[in-house]
Amino acid sequence: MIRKNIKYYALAALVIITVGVALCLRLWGGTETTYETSFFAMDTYMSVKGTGKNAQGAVEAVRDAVIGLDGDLSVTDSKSLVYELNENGSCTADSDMEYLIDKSLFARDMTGGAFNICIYPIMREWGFTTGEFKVPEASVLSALCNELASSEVTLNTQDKSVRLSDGTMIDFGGIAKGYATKVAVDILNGKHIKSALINLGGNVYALGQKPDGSLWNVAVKSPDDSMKYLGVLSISDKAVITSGGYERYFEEGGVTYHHIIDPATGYPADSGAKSVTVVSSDPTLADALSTAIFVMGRDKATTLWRKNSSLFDFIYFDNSGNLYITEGIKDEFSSEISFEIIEK
Amino acid sequence: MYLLLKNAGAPKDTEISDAQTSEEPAESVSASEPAVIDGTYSATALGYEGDITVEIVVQNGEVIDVYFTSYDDDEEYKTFSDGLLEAIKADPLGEIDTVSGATFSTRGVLKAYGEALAKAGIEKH
Repeated sequence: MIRKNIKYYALAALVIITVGVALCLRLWGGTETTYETSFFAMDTYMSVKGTGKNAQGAVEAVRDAVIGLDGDLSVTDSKSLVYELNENGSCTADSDMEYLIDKSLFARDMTGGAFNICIYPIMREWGFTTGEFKVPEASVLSALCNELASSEVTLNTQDKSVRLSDGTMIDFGGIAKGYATKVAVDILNGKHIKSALINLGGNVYALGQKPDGSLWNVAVKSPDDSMKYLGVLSISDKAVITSGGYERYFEEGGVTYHHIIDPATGYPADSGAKSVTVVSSDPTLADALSTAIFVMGRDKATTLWRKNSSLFDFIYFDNSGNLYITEGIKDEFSSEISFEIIEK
Repeated sequence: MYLLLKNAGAPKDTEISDAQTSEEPAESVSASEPAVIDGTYSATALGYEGDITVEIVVQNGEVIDVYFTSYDDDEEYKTFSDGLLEAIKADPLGEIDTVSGATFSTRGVLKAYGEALAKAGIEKH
């Protein structure tokens, strides 16, 4: 009887061990694959590529999350929380909105208002939020700029309530793709994907290293047709986010109006910048700063960088064809054209 | 084009030239490494069902053009092959993983497509 029991237990143990080993192999020893997907969201084209165990599940989770954010952060979708906030002047923030407001206010203060989510009424006046472009009356713009100067967004960190000052409306358009990139990186990290390349309409994040262990090579597009790239960055775990007036613009009466509006004037920024790329481990901040630096111009951007060089670096290409990079990326950047290094 | 070929035998062993260097003749490339000789080079390989011949044009040590001189494979694959050639031309030495640039808008294309569908009386899901 006892002997029979021992046999039974031994058999049970063997089954348990076999199943256990099989499970372990599946969980830890499964083969790594690369999976890539492309999709349309946030009025642009996006692609995500990841390598690891269950890369497909991770990459598809990123796609679903980014498409979800597109709706949640929309200023024109009447079901979105941002729409509710703009309509009522108040709402209770969800975790996305809390992060975005916090980061937006940080970027606004850091850049002296060159980045400002309260610019929405001006963007709407130009038609950049709908595609119904028009050049607004100067008097309308100056009135909107005066309102913008006193616009306030307050977030109560205790009860998560958000309030807008009278007449204020916000739009996360200048920071949404950077935030979507951050969400994507969080998902991939959570699913133990060690190597991935995210490109959300030109906003890039290089996660880890390439499957062969080398650095990712991210080229910076040239705004001129005369050359293909401004240069190439060899990086790991960094966002590379570019702002330029050469993709989103319209023409009226022979004048080109691009979509990066200077909050101080209400008109397209005219600082001398043609393309600005920010390199940072924080994609949300990088998105806000690329817009802000395009508005500020090189001198103010240099001052900003010298105070915050641990947070970001930048690549600045001006209307005269001069290329500048900050010192922090001098070992990562190479170019076929000559460039000047901005030092601390 | 963009990259300076320094060693034909090892395509990974490349470096980005500055604008001036790329304008100099190929002979100026360091004598310690075998120089790339300008000219046209072609090679043939079997596709799925027929031979494909690719020709490259090398000028000043750089690949300046890539094209098919003959394509006897299944025509069905031609579109993909043409797309592949475009990708190769954009990055002849396979050095670039992705490109960061100002965000382009898909609104115009998608709006026009939607209007054309509506005119045809087809409803989009």
